[in-house]
Amino acid sequence: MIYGWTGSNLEIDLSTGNIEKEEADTKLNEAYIGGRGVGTKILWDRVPPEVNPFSPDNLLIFVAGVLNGTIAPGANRTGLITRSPQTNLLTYSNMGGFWAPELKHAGYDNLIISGKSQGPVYIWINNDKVEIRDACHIWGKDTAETRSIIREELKNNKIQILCIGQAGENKVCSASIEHGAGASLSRAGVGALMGDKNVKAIAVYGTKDVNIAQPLEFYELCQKLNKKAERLREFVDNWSYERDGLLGKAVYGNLNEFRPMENIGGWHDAFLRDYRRRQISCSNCSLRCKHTIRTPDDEYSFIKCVSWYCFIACCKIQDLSFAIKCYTLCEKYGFDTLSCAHLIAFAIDLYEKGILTKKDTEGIHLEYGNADLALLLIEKIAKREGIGEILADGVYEAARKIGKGAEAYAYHVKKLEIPIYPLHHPYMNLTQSTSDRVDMLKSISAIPQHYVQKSEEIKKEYIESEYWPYPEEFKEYIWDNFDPTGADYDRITKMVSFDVDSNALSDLTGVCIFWTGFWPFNPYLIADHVRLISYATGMSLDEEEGMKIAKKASILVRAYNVILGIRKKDDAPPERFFQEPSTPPLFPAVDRKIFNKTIDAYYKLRGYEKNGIPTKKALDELDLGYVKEALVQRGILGNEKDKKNRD
Amino acid sequence: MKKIKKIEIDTSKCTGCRTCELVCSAFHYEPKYSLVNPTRSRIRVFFDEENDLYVPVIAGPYVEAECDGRKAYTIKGEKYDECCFCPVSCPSRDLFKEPDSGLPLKCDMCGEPPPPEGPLCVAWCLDDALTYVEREEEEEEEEEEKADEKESAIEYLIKKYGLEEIRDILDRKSKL
Repeated sequence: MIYGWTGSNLEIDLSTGNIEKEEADTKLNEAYIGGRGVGTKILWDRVPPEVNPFSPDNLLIFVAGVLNGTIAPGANRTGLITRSPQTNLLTYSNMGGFWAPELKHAGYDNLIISGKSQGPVYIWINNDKVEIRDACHIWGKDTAETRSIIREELKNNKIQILCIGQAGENKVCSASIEHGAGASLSRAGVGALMGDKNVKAIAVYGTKDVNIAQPLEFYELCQKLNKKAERLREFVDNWSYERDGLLGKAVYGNLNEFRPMENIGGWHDAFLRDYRRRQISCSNCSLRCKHTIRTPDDEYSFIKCVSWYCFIACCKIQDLSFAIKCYTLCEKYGFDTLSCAHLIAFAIDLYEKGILTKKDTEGIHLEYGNADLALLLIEKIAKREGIGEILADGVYEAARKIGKGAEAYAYHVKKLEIPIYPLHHPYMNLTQSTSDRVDMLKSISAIPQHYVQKSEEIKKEYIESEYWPYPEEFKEYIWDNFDPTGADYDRITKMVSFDVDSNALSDLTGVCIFWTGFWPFNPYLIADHVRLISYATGMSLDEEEGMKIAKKASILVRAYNVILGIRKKDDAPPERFFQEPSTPPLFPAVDRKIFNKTIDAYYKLRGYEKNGIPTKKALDELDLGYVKEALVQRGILGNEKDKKNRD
Repeated sequence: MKKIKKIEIDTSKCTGCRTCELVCSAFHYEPKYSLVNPTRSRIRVFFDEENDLYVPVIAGPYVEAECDGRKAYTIKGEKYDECCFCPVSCPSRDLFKEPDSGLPLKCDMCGEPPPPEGPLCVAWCLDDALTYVEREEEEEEEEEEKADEKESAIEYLIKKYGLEEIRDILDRKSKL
């Protein structure tokens, strides 16, 4: 009997219509644990870097974590590993909800989609019965309509659905794959890939067991973690977007005004009072961090976190109901709110600077503060109409098309739009610059930011509590506040490196990082996490091994992207951040010397050479000999002398 | 006096996390907690997220026949079949049946003795959508029913084995 994993993968070739249930490679599971680790290895083996993301040879690998479908609290993340059409790099998206747990109950750890369908289809996975069904009648529908048509058609309200909206159909680079209730696989054009493969939706339903190797130990640890979550629930409940969140320090317009948001008094309360109907949760999670809301037009919608104030900041419109309207529209079209809002600000900025003219916009006057314009632009981008066609491939590509110096205002890291944070913050700057996909949640922890500049008392409570997630030596880092210039990069790099691996571990198990290392008072410590893996699967794993496998997964991604040309020059924020301080002046302009030292120190910790390529030694230590071979073969690593020595 | 045990449901507090389903299925398997499968659970959360409807339904009695006169309800403008909210395990649907054997499932308040933390779906529901209620109640009718039950059981035995034999057994027992 197999424990933890289901032991099978589902392979669907859309070009031939071939559907196969395949036994998963047990050795692969043991070496990479699951989720992102296994998925990345499959992509490494089967999609050579030369493959164009929009080629039928590109794979969509939907992965479940090893703890998905069990009672491990918060184990509900669905992962997607593929090649991004926007950045051309290997990209990884993950989301909460119910999809991956359902996939496991249907009997599969991973779903691998290859090829390209002739016409629109949707995939229906009902345990062992898998069908590719015609989707002509739902092509062109928004994501909410799509979900309800499919539920009706399959006569089952327990199915879990992933689908794209019009943005994905039109292969817009900021298109997402929507799941519902504030959950979507997004960023870097993953929705466009589904559109390109002509897959409108993937529905799954399962009635199978997920087995646990050491049931009693597993149960008791889960129970303990759930009890520990009380403190975090309290923290999340008292969290205020205004006081603690970004609302107070957002970046306005096209990232060109770092200032606190205006008129923020009472926004959070207004949101809770006027819009929120219910707090909701993903599968098996008691943190209920999402909200269902009633929009000003009496529509129902779901909302989470940063998504809604992107539009407030980017469009400079101080109106909650406007933000929610934009968010709802994006969810319907299947749009990543972060990139979408950024694109709108980018266009307005260029228009104000005279780089875009009425000729480019078909006579539309672009300006900040115009709500109708923002809504119109969302639609235009989703449908690739007029100015939308120019913007649809992201700011980098748009600037290239527009020319006339537009590149200077296209703020991206590795061709992907950056979050609306002031990236001056040294911790933030490092994570966003070096991450393989710039965004908020993947490599970031809010803990270091929470505890700088807090009172001794607050720090003490946390450091001495059972929630302290870091190695002992990090305690003093919290005591001292980080130098805002990043001069104490030695400490910052250590924390970031640890956070990246700790979060990568969550990507293997499918546990949400809200449980493992995002907020203060995260219930899971690394020790709990690896113990759950051991109890679930029967393999014996200690903390060191767990973190090593987590690191291996992220280094594997790095190596793949290095083959695609990523080097030190790409691990940097947009030039602006080196030129201008944040406003208000919380942070000075990024000091290039200090930044370079930070990157060097970070590379050392990750086992990269000075140019950002993983070293042979690091690859050997992580059992990534085949990666080393590949990098040597491609002439990226080593030289003749090295080769002779090795022979 | 009779102890009434009940799980009360407050749908307004349900967050739709379905933890109750998972933990119920894990508990009711031998060895305990050795698997998870929501379709084996004796509680299911029916939800329609697009309409903000979250309804935990606890497995009730088994019925042999499908009901007639199924009602349709309209809630917030959407129509729902009564089936969605029905706790009964019946021939017309898969709900509350073991997925492999097809045997009906019924909530047992986690059996006798119950787990120290009480019924698990309640213990794991941190938002109090489910609460466990125990109260003493006068239940005279049921007492009478019980008496009837005993009498008819003895009648059955007499019919089967004859009055003489049963009387002998009762005599022997009363001397012990």
